[in-house]
Amino acid sequence: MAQEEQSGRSIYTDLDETTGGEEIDKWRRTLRLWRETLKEHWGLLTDELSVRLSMLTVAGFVLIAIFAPFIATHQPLQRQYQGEAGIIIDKWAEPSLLGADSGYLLGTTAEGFDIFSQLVYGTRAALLVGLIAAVFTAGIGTLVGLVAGYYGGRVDDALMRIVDFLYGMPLLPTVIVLVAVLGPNLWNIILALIILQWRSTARVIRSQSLSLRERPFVKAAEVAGAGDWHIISRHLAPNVLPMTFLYGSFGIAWAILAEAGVSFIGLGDPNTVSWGTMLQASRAYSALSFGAWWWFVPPGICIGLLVISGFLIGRGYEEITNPKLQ
Amino acid sequence: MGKASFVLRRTLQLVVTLWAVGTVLFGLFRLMPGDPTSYVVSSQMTQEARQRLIESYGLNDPLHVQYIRFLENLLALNFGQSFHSNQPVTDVIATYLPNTLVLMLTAFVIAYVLGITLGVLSGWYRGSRFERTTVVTALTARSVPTFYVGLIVLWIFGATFNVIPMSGMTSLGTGGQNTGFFDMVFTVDFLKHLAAPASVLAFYYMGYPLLIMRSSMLEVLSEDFIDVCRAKGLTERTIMFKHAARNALLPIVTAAAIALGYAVGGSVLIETVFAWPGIGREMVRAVLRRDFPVAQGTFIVLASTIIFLNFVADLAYGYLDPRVTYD
Amino acid sequence: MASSDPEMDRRAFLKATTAGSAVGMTALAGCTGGGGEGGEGGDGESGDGGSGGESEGDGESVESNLPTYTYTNNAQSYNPPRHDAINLIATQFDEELGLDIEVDVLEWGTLYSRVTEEYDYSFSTWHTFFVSEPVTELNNLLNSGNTDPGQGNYSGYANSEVDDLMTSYLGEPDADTRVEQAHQIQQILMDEVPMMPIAQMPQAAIFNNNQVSNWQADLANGFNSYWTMINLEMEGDETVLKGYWPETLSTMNVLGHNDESKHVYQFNMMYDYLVQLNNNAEPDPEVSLATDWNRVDETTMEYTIRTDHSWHDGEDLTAEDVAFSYNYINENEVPLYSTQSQYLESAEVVDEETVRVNMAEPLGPFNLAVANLLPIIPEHKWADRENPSQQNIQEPVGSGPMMFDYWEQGSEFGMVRFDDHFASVDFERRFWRVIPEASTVWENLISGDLNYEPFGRIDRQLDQNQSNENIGTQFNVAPTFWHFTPNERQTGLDDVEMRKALAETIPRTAIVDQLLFGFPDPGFNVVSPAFGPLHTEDVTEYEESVEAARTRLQEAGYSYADDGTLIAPSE
Repeated sequence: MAQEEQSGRSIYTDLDETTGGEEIDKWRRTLRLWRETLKEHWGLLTDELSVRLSMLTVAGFVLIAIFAPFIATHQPLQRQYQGEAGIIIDKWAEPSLLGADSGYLLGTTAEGFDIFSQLVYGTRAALLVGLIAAVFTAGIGTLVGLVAGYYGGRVDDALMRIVDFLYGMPLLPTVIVLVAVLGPNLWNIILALIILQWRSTARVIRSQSLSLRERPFVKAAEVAGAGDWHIISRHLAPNVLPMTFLYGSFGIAWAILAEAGVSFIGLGDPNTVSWGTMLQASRAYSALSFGAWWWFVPPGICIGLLVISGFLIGRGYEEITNPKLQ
Repeated sequence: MGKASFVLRRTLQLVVTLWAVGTVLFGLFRLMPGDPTSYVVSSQMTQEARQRLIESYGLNDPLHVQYIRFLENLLALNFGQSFHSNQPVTDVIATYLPNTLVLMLTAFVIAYVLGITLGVLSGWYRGSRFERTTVVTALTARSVPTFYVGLIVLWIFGATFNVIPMSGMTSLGTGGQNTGFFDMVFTVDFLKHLAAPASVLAFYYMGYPLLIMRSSMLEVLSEDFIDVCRAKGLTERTIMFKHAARNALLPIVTAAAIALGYAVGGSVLIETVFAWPGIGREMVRAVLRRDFPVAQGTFIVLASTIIFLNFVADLAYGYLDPRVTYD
Repeated sequence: MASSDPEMDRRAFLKATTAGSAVGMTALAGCTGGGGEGGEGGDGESGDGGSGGESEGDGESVESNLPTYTYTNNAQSYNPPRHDAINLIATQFDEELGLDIEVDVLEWGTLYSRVTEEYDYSFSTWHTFFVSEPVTELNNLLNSGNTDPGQGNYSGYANSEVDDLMTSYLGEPDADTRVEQAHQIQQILMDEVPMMPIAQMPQAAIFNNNQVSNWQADLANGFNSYWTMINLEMEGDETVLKGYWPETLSTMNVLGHNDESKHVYQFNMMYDYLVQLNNNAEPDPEVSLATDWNRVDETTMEYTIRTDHSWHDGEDLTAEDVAFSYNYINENEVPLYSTQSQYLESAEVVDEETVRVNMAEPLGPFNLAVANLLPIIPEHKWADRENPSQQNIQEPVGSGPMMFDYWEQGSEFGMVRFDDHFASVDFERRFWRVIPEASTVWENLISGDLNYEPFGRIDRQLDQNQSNENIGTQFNVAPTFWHFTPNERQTGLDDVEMRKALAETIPRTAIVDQLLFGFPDPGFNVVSPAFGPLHTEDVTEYEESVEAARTRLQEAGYSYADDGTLIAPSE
């Protein structure tokens, strides 16, 4: 979890001075500030080997997701049959990767679906859940945190009460109840995750925002008559960005794990293949007891890889937010 | 503002949050599609019988009437009767909650003892291979779903090598032997059944305290007083444990309280895998069969646990960290 | 999976992904299933959710005048083979017959009420007909007087000829006449197929043959019946009957459960019933509470009961208890027995060994339909209880061959032998452990930690393990079957030819062989051979052929568009 204390310096304050003299549109200046900030982060981040590897992993999965129809050998939810007649279902086929003569890289499921194709298409569900949930988690949380921290007073109180309430709802049970109400559907799962997960980002960003707004450069901007949004977007936001991205990265990880959990219980989307539904199906048909570990093991490994990448990238940001850890 | 008003405010917050959670829950369950009585009526019943049953459960009353009744009952800690078994929900909770708690607490104790120790060591031996391996293992442990690890453990150690029991809290057929929960908990049979799920959970939970402890250690180690200790000639060991670790422990306390809350909420997964009769699994089943009273009651218990633990964490943090003011 | 367009509403989303995933079927059936063929990467990306038979990626489809039909399906984890079968059938309807099908996966309780109460479905399938008396059940399911919401006739079938036949059957005291009537009813029903059996399920005894033997089934409860238990023999030194169920029991209230098998199988041993049946569905006085009975007139039965029997708590079981049971259930309108209560007016004690039951209306098969089903409950326990179905019973008292011992909710339920029973069991104890996981069950069966399988799961594990030397199996024809029922309230499904074509399209043999491993038989009659003389082979048969179905429809005036969509004849 993030630290409550702030690092002693702000490495971005000098940017204000250097760009002061130019006649550029205010928002383009803000944009340039953000760009430079992000570039700086990037440099610090990619210094770490683990972060580089994680980014490569994520990029790899993204590519697989985009090119899924070309990588997968079959449709993920299309029943495979033996022979021409289309009568006998080709189920429990063994993987050709292990030497079996089946024509399916990772074999087939108990219903006759190609496991490899399911694995490939499952990337889409995972990334969809992960990225959307992460963006909203980090985005909504940051926005709320900044606003609450900056305006303080009643606004802060109201917003934090909402956050308190959300903290009181246990994650998995709430997602389960929401999915039970709204229906077992990937979008409902994403929605349920978004509704809950921004709470932690909001709290942390708020405390950062609270201390930032007491800083001299913010005070100076206020005195100079800068508008609220100008201050928030130009002075506060870039400073909290590392934390935002940290929570975004963690958000990917949490979202994918939560979706896997919900699907495993059986509340996953029955019409979409995800790694979570693959795990649930392999358990429903007792794959492991038949020795068909190739159905059960790969989805778990994929989940693990993507989630750990999310964590490592997040930890990379952690080192930016807390230089003592470098 | 002093400590007293801080505590008061936080307590008030607790109550309001509980009320909000209860209300939202009430609304959510009423919104659920599917008829809750479909589980308690059978196709054999006549239409009149069915109607009477629905009325007797109060499901036909207008929503605000149901809500008032719900609030009144909540204040009296009366969660109603299960639609399914007609047992008081408090009985249901009393049956299943201890099972979850014993599992969670055991896993937690193991996880935190191991996690803290390893965290201290990896913070101290910064940059070593030991540190790197530990951190990677901790991260991996948190990246793989608990139920996945659980199933693999069951497959390898249970089905293949037969060293752990495959399901439940006790062995088959031993049902009538123990006179109560505490009787059962101290039997060898129970401990044998507890070992696997608790270990799997501990493996998952361990990562968090380990990483926090490590960061905390790193922070503390960069402080001046450590050099002072060295200058005074204290042994590395003494410095490591008595001085550095003690100071680094602060965030762990609050993190532990919060994490325990989450653990209780997420117990359904491991309970499903190990067929452990816990409250998480019971809640999910109640939701699925639209047994409103049980679903509401168990959910509120879980939420209350979390809210209460967050409250404790808040207080503890405020108390333990002299730098924080009661604001 | 579908495109990332969040504006797609759920129905379109579902349709797109289901239709898309089915797209490849006709195109690829027979090919090696290569994924790179042009245009069929569009698993729903085309987004218009066209009806079945859509050709690769061209996105054009003809609008049919038939609506989109919903096939309700249970969740995969709830019943994997049935989930599979429904998907298979839906694909056949969609791809081969040209209908537009949407499969709606629902949690079981929701599904059941959607279908049986709200009638919000087009097709439904589950395992049904767990009865000893077929026409009572058929009357429940198919009588046109039961078509109001929640009344039992969810198919919407209405045929006054059948109504009359069923009513006269139920009032008919002569058994042979009833046989004739039953045959006629079946013949009409299988000709009009309001309900088509997909698979005639077997009753399965699965057990550890080192520990138990002598399995005999009865009709309604198969190998979990009273008859089975009192004839079971333990082998070796084994004195405990060890079973399981994937879920925990819900209640110990014999008047307040939801009729699920798991409860029925406990209470049929814990309580006595006036009349018990043997494995030929005949009342057997030697093992029943009543040693003799006599039909006084068409609305009155008289029972002679044992006078030396007692309750589990030691109290004597008297004729008062018997009369009390019938009156109490009737007067309190216990929902579970509301169908039986319909026929009850009162019960009275004639003398210390005789009880007279007065019916509210004449019921021919009274023993099978009522006396076999109403439990005899102790007056000294129940007389003061109001609202019986909502009582919270923790320690039930019955008079059956087994007594309640302990109930560790979520974990294990145990009963012990009641030694003073007139039909004693061979085992001293019986327990049921809650084990959701199938593979764990099999390991325990083989090792002897469990010695019988009451749930009767039919899956690959059964197929693979049945030849294990420790495992014994026995299969009988059951009265139960997987039904396929169309909702005749929806357009197109009230046409008999359509229903017959649907019956012909269902790949019954493929389902039975591949999803159920050959254990059941393909369905053909709602009154299964298990009912003995009441069953007749002389009913309309349907071949399993999509070609035949299409021909039938075309002869009835339906036509096919170029893309395979079915168009109904315009009236």
